Amino acid sequence: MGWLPQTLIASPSQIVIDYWKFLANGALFKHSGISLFRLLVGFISGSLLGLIFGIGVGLSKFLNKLLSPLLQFLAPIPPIVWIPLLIIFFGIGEMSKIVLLMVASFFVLFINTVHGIRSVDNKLIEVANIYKKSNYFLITRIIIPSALSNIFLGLRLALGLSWILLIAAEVVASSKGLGWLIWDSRNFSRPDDMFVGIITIGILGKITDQLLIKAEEHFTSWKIKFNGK
Amino acid sequence: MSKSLKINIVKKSYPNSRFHILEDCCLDVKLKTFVTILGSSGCGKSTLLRTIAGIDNDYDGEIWIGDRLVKGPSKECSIVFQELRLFPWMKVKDNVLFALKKRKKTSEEEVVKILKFFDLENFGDLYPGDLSGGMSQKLALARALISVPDLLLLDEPFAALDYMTKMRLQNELIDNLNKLKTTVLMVTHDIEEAVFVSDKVMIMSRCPSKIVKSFEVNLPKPRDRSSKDFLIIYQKVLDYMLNVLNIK
Repeated sequence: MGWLPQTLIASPSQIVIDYWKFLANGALFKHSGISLFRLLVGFISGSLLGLIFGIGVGLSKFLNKLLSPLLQFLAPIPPIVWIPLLIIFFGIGEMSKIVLLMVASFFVLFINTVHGIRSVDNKLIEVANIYKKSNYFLITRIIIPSALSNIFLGLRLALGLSWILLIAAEVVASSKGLGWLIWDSRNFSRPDDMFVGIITIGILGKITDQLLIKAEEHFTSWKIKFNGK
Repeated sequence: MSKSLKINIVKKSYPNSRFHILEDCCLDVKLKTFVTILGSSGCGKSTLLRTIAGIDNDYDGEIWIGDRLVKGPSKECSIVFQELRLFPWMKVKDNVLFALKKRKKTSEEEVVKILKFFDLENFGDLYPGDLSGGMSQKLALARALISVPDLLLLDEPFAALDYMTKMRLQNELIDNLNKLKTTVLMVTHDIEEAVFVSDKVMIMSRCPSKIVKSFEVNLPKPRDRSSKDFLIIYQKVLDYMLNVLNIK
């Protein structure tokens, strides 16, 4: 690899050595820890709000009429355009990043939850009505289980989007975190540090997605799935 | 407590339309008897069952179950839908438990008892998706019968099954209902099934539909499908459907 300038690209062996260094001095845990914290707080709180609003709008004609026009206007706005506004409101601290992920996760969960609830087989609802089941039973035992696949799809999409936005926000305004690490390494021509950041995002992204897949398998174990040929 | 059924529907229209599905549709089902309505597809058989079950209340006329005028769903009347409508995310036992109004200490025992009744006691922890067509059918029947209804409505319960399974389930159904002494109203388009299970077979005309003819089936149960008496009645019903309803 001698013919490539070391200020632009790092060799695999350099990356391995650098990765070990980052692990040994704890810098990797510091950057990953703060990134994961922002990701999880933003993603989980945003998803939870999206789920609650989605269930409300999915179930109630009134809430649908009340909230849908506004939410349908806001949903297509790319979350990344909120970054400047959020920095003005919340500064460059944790809050602006967390709120950004909340906004993004909220809309993904909202749309998928409403769709999931509106796709519930009306014939099954009719059965519950015949047996005069309470609204609580209807929601927890019939509507949510039936919408669960859509909700999990929403969660996985929101998680992927959260990673993208988190790194973007850390690049724009931050002093620590994996996004900052990558951008800072680029500015100081440390390609090996850059790859440490990239690889770590890949690993953490895979782990968090896998956790969601496992959770979905657990909650929808009754489903007979097509696993590919 | 089994109850009788009295229906007098003056007219029932399609939703958002003035075209009538049912017109002057009158019939009586006596206490503890099994009555079957035979008719071709789309003649309003399922609609009739929906009105009796109290799911569809938009019609002119009256329906009485025992001495109660039907105004909405009630626990004294259970219905088994053509498409079963089991809950795929609930275990077999929970699908049955679903039909009990309140969970009591004895609920679990009742579930085990009814599952045993239908030979499903070993499958309580499976999901409906794991069951065969015949077993799903029995599960739907178990769900309808656990609340000990006064009236059982069956909407083409065996239409989706193969001939062998269908015959076996018809036998089981007759056995079980004989023990429970429930009043039953079934709709089907299968003449043999109608003659095999019922005390009375009624024929429904095409739209706007009404009951145009009824046949008493005075044969002892369980019946022999290949006996002469059985075939005579079968022939009579078939002839009527071919000639009078002009199905060729």
